[in-house]
Amino acid sequence: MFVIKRLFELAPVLLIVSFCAFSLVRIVPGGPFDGERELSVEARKAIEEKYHLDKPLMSQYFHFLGNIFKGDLGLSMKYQNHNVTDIIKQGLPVSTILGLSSFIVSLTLGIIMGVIAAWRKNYISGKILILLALVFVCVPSMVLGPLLILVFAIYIPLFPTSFLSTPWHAVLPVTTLSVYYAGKISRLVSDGLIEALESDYIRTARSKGVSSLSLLFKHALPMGLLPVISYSGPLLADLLTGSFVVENLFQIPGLGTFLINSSLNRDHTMVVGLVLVYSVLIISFNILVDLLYSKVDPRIRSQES
Amino acid sequence: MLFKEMKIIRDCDNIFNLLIAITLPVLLAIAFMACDSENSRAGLVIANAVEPESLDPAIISGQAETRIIECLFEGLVRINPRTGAPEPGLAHKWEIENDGLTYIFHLRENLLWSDGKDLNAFDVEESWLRSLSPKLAAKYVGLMFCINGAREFHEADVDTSLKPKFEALDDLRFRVELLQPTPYFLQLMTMPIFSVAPVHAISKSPTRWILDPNVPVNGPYKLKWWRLNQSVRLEKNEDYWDAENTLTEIVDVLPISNPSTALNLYLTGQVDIIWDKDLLPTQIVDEISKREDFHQFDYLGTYFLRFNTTIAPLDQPDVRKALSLAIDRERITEKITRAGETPTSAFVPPGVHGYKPNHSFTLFDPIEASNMLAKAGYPGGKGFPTLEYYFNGASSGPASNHEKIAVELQAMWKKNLNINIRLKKNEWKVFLSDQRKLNYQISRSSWIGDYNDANTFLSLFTSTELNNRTGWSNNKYDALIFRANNSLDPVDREKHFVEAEKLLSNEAPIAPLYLYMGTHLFDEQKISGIHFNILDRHPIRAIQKISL
Repeated sequence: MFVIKRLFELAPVLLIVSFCAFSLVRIVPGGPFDGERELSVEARKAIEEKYHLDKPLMSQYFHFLGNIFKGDLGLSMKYQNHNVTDIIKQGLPVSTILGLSSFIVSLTLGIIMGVIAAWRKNYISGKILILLALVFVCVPSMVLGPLLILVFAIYIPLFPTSFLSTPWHAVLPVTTLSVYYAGKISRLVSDGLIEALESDYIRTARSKGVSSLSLLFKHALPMGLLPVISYSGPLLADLLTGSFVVENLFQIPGLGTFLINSSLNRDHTMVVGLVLVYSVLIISFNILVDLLYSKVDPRIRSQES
Repeated sequence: MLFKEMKIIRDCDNIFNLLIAITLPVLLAIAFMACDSENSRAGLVIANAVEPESLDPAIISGQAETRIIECLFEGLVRINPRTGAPEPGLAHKWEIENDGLTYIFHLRENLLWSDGKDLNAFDVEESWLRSLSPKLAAKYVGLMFCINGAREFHEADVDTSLKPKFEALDDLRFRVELLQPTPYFLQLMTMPIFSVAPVHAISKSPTRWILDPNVPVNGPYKLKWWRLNQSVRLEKNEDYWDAENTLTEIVDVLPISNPSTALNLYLTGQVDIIWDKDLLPTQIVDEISKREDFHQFDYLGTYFLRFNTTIAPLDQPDVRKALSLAIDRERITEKITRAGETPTSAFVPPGVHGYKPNHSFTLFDPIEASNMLAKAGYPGGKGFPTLEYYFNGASSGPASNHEKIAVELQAMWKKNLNINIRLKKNEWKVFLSDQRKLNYQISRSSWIGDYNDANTFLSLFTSTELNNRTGWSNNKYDALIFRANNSLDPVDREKHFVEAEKLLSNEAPIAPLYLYMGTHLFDEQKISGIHFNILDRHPIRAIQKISL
């Protein structure tokens, strides 16, 4: 019931988002066909006609909506031989592989680091991990990426510098993309876990003689993971739609580069198409997170019932 | 209570199950990609700046696209890899008649499209008519306007009675009638818009024909694939008339816009050639330029400033000249660009075919600049309004120098003329739109010549030229350019161009700063067939890896 209700909410949200993207990209100064070489008056007229830019905004939007139901997002205005749908079909799987791999790496690394940091918070190892998480969050991928390439691809030729054709190729880009999120997740986990470990039910469990490991993993961790779960939805949507910096640096043909360049190029059709993909992903993952949340947190489950 | 705890543990297990469920397909997908044998390394891999906007020869305008398109579609003439000059392509010879106004091209016999269809002069006619059609919105259509009736045909919309003056006389002969002699016509014909596109295939799928895996081509290579942001793979076309001289079987052309990425790929042997000036990492240009595999050569490009001559005080030539003379160009090339650029105050680069002017314009003269400003009514910069210098921002590559140059210019104008200039930065599309609408005061600009003739530079500032973008027009200047293009005598032509450039320099609607240099990175011991020419055009068909 909850899922159906949320899915019904999806349609109006997408309609509003698409209209905002559609009109904003047309309102901003600079057009898709402004170039270093000027188009002749006739050519400009013809191309604006082709993309319906000569019509009023609302009529353009309804035309776009009509096509969307046929699964057609239109021709890209920059890459004029390509359909936006085709470009997304080409780029999304690549970004998904990169994004999911990074998601898993950052989640695993972040949780492990967070758990140890919280469990050993009064020891030097815990303090080092907390500091490390802070470093992870502070080093931007545009610095880390070139550094990793320099050390592990050029000085010590262990990994390839670019592309994404084998798992070996994925090591450096996935590391670059994961480090920030691992740091962030680690901080979320350690904060959540420290709070959980200090709560009453843990004290009760401890006084009943529950072993330390079971206390940590069975009792405290599920609570400590709650903030991570709510963070995972937007994180996954972010990662799946690609990262401009990492894709650009490692020459990976995902969607991240298109997401940035399409708005710089004023590629109207592409901007709207990508915004829609991003919105669908973020809304779907948020629904998933809500579902997961209610499963993990007994308080929410009892509220719902 | 115990039941609840058990449930939490079970939910926790569910999370890990979920993680595993996600992990498996990812690993599988990666493994699948690893098995993709098609991705094996090509015989030659080239880093080629930006992703091609299109591979349709009629609608593209960039150098990155031209390099790929000349592999796929050839015109009646093609580029000689050694000299960069036009040489017989689909036509094996031609006659020039009627005082340079009529060209009759003789096509080679037995020309074939890669789909097996015969290629004849009627294909040329259809392809050229398509390029001229206003519906196609070809950016370079202006290059065809030297043909009699071409402009009228393009502007007439649907009126087909206005046919341009070119036609197939029979299967093997093609006749073109020009508006005026146009001595650089053969040069023009090496541009993609004049190449022969497969209209028989295009009519079946007008917008996406190039993505058809079996798209018919007539050039040295077939298009194996075009994967956006990944690569364009070219495969030797055995049906090409000169296939025996296509030296590499498979070539990958990579769209790389990040100079560091290109360099990383090159240093690790994944790329054989980097051949775009925009792929030069500016931060380490000093080190790169010391390398033995770094090559530099004269190039047909000028970095300059445009003045909006329609607004005061920039409507006075003296003010514009003062601003131009107050720029220490050597300082800019030595301290900022640092890639061997030549400071210049002339718009046409030296080395252009048939143009060797004996004049030299003053590069930097702050005293004269100050005098000029005083003459214009602003002694010591007094009363001079604050003007705005407009440039576009970029994060990497040589374009990231625009901002540094802007700051330097601002300081030079303050120091040498005692005037205040505000800086305005905008993103590329907004910048271009404003420049087109003359919505600026002083603007950064650059121009890359399309063909090896002074006209590709000097015609830019004629009154009717859409790319003028300064608001400046001068009847005498227009007449000089017209006369130069009407003359077949090289000496007479040069004389008119020299005079035109002097006039341009005196009126100063622009202030040239420096000449770009062509830059390549490749090991001459490993790669053969690249010969430097001012157009920076190097047909891929002649390039190969030397087996050691």
